Amino acid sequence: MNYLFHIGVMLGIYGMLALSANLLIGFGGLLTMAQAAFYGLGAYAYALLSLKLGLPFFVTLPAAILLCAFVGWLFGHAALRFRNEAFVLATIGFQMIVYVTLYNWTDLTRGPYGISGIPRPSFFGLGIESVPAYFLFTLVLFTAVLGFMHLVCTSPFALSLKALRDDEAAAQTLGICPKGQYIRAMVFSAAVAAVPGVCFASYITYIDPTSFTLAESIFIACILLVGGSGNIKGPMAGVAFMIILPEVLRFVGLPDAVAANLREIIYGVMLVVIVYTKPKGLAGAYAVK
Amino acid sequence: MQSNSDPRIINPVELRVENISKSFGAFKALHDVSLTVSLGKVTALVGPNGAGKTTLFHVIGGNLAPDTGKVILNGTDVTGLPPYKIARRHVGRLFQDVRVFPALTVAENISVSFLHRSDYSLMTTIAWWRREARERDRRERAMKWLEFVGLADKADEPAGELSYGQQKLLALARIVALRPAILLLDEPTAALSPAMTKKMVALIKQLVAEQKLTTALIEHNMGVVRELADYIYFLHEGTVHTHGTQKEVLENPAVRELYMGLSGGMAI
Repeated sequence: MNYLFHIGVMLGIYGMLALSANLLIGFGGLLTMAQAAFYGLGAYAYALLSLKLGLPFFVTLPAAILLCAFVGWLFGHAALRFRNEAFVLATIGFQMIVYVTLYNWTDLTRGPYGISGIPRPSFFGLGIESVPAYFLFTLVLFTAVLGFMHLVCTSPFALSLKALRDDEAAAQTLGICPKGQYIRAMVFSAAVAAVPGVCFASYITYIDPTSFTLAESIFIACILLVGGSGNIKGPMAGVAFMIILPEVLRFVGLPDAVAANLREIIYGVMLVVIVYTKPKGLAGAYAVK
Repeated sequence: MQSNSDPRIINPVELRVENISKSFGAFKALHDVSLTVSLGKVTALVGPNGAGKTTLFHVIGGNLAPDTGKVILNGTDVTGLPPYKIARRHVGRLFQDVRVFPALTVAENISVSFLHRSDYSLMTTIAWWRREARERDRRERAMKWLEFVGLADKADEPAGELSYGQQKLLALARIVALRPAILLLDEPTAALSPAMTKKMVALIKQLVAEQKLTTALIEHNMGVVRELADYIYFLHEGTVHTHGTQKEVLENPAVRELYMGLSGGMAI
């Protein structure tokens, strides 16, 4: 049973990550490969603040969100001078900078040894220790993020982002400032990505830089490519597909000797088929270019 | 019409371009171009392809910075301002190629014109109860402009699915929904059917007359120019060759020869 709750927690974490990336990728049309960097920054901010300063959860969560928002704002000023492939490269660069920093700043992050013993969140002396309890806790965070992103995605701000995505030059002639809107999107996206970071660190209670690699960022982008983006349904479909499918494949009775490899092959083939046959993903509103 | 109910009054604005030059490498796209688009009048820019008309619009609209020269809006130098700042100074630009937002609905395409910086604050973004009234208002205003161009029945269709002519009408509606004081129209009737051309010309005429819009028009269809233009500048190889009233320019033998010769049998 704990296994199912564990899957539930992972669904929640990746659901929040997909929603955060969706604002940039699906609404802004900016294919970011740096979402895992903000996810990692959120996780490390929580781990360090709660371990080194002993701050409680209701302080560390907002602190992690603010830190990511600030870093997103800084990074946005640099990266949003670029568009298309150049922007993708800039985000990959940022992702690598964050990863390498987490890996090498051993005095602060303990580098490859990671940080262990991260406290689970506790409220009024009541710790959230068991997996089912943690699942409920993740559900609360996920619902809050979902609600927040729903508001953002239906706001005038999202409309202006969609206009920029469809035709930046035309949107400018209607008075929309691309840089300002894109930086806003980057800030929102980075801030929201901190929440799953905090959730992950406090759930696993151990983090090291290998959880926040470029591969993780690509995985998040894949969730949106498969499920779709530019609305709320798409990322949700993507998360369900990408997280649940590998788990289902564990139970199809493949021969043990080749099970691991076959699972990867089936998984890969299904991704290619979906991306090839459904440019907007399973339930998306926008075909990522 | 929205112009009657909108409390903001846009004063007529004059547009002047002074000594603009712009080169791309060794190619001089514009050379020392000066012209005035008078208050509430339609000023047409005509000339063969490559004369620099669209480049001049790019310079006025902020898409290109000139090498030398100034763009002056109502006495204020706006040279080099980015396009969104030019737009906020009530300059509405219609592109030569239709540039609707294909994934947005027709009504949303217009709503984008109504967005204001105050709509983007964190408070407005998350406080849905504060934005419902504004959304309704945007929708209503969008519908008025859609009725004006005859696309109200398509309001909830994706703009990318409209026909080319309908997309051009939508682009015009989107620009005038900005409440511009100046219109820059780059070939508004290019590639339109005769019926659609007639409709477009009638709409532009109505807008200019009702709202006293200062309008600059690039157009190859001389029928349209004759119908709309109060004053004409003939551009040739990046310079102003001749300017004057319709009669003065269109009946100028040099213009006839240059334009006819270069544009291959264009009827003037």
